[in-house]
Amino acid sequence: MTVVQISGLEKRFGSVVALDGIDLEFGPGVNGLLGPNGAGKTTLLRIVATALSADRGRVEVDGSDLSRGDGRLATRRILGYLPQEPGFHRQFTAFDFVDYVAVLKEWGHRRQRHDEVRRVLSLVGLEADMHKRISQLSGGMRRRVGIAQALIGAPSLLVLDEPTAGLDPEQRLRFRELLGTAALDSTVLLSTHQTDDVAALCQRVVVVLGGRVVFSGTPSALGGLAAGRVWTSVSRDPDASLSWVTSEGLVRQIGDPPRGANLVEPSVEDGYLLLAGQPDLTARAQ
Amino acid sequence: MTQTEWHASDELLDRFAADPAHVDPTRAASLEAHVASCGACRHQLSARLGSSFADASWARVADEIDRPRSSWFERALQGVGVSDGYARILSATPGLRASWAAGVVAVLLVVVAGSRVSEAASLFLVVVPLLPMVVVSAAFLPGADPAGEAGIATPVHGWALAARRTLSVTVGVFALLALAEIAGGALGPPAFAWLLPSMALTTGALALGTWLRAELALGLLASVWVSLVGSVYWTGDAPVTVARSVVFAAPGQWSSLLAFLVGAAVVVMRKDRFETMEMFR
Repeated sequence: MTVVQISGLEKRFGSVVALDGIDLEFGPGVNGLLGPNGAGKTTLLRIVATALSADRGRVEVDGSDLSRGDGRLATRRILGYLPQEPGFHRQFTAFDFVDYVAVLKEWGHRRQRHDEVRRVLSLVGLEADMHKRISQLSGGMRRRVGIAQALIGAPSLLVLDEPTAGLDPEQRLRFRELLGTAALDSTVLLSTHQTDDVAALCQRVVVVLGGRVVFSGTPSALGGLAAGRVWTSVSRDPDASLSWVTSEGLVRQIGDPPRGANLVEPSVEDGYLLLAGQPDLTARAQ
Repeated sequence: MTQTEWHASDELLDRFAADPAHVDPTRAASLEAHVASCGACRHQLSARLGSSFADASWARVADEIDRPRSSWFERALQGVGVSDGYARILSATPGLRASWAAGVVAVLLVVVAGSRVSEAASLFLVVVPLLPMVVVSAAFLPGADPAGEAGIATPVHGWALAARRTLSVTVGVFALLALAEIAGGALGPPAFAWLLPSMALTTGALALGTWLRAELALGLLASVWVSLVGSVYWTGDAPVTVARSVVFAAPGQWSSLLAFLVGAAVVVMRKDRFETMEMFR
């Protein structure tokens, strides 16, 4: 079942091409977007979330065309959106902020709205801090306030731009549980730099480089791109494309392995790094 | 008669359980006092009400205790009949509050200055048309909406909200300006000559804002206005020429009306721009 359908999507900012002919389909479950800074992930999510308009191409959400006013309205009614920078008004408390967004999401009845605000704030573990000013909250807590406002009304489409940025390991684990439950009944699009989040959460991963989709498939298929090209040794190999020292003191290397190399099982990160560093592999993955 | 000798009738308990508002207030108060001390009637009433009544009552009480206190501005808006949600939107927009305050201060300054200088009418007519434009533009500056980008991707956001915000600030500022005009009758003719230029500049800023950043559109139009009026002032024979110049006479008023209509048409044609973050760059 396709919930988000994107075809021929283009977006420019002056002379910079942010999106260069994106064709994608997303269905229920967690869909991850991977890519370096400036690859076009945020622009893509903003367009799907109706915050930004496309220059060319077509985006449909649940059959609604986002180039039309009624299509945008229908999408906004089923959407929860966490921008990369939510832009909190710092004098607001966490409750005020989420309550304000709930008003914008057409929660007119005050007490029902307040109940929903308490529900989503408790989902992200902020029930004890809901009346603190946002300026008094840590970066991770502010991120959780942002996640809470996206969860108002249990939306069937969740668009989350780097939701785990600033969360500590315990909060990330809690977020994964939360998202895993939410994704049972909804479609989730999230961008991240954390390949372990992708491996743990996503049923599907899309890699975006230079405004183009260079990979679309399962996390295991992304890791599989690096099969036979990841090895460990005690010293750095000059022919390796990438290498780094692991916690065991060995050097993990990606590239064309030398004869007799100690090949290891590739991870999602290995596949992504190999893809991002090798345009020829990008062409083969498409 | 002791309290335990009297028990509420089934009919009264049924009616109270269905809706306490449908019971005579005196009898309802009597019943409430009675069930507090009579276990049998309390049990009968509880059976009729069920747990949902207690849950709903508790939720109401909890919300009254736990909900944040509204700001004085929000309460004032609600007091004049503005809905809870819309009052929250208007009171929570810092850009609106700041521009409102700036508008009030500017009007006061103009009125005070107007009473002390000989070119009162000219000063009033030069400055006043700029005020609504400044106030409206401030509502579209980046960061004007406290929810930022998250607020843009919501059903309420868009043309209708932009129009409401514009109206809410312009109506207030125009009312203040009208009061200033009436209070300072000595400011001179022509009466309300600032109104059409104000409307033209305000819609012009909104229309230009669909292409340019809000502050650029504001700066550009303010410069054009000051240059236009300034050229009349510096080329005239005396300061009073501004108030009586062609800018505020019939040809200028017709031109302002035309500019207002063109600006309004552009805003309507490009209303989709108010729905995305391009308008709030």
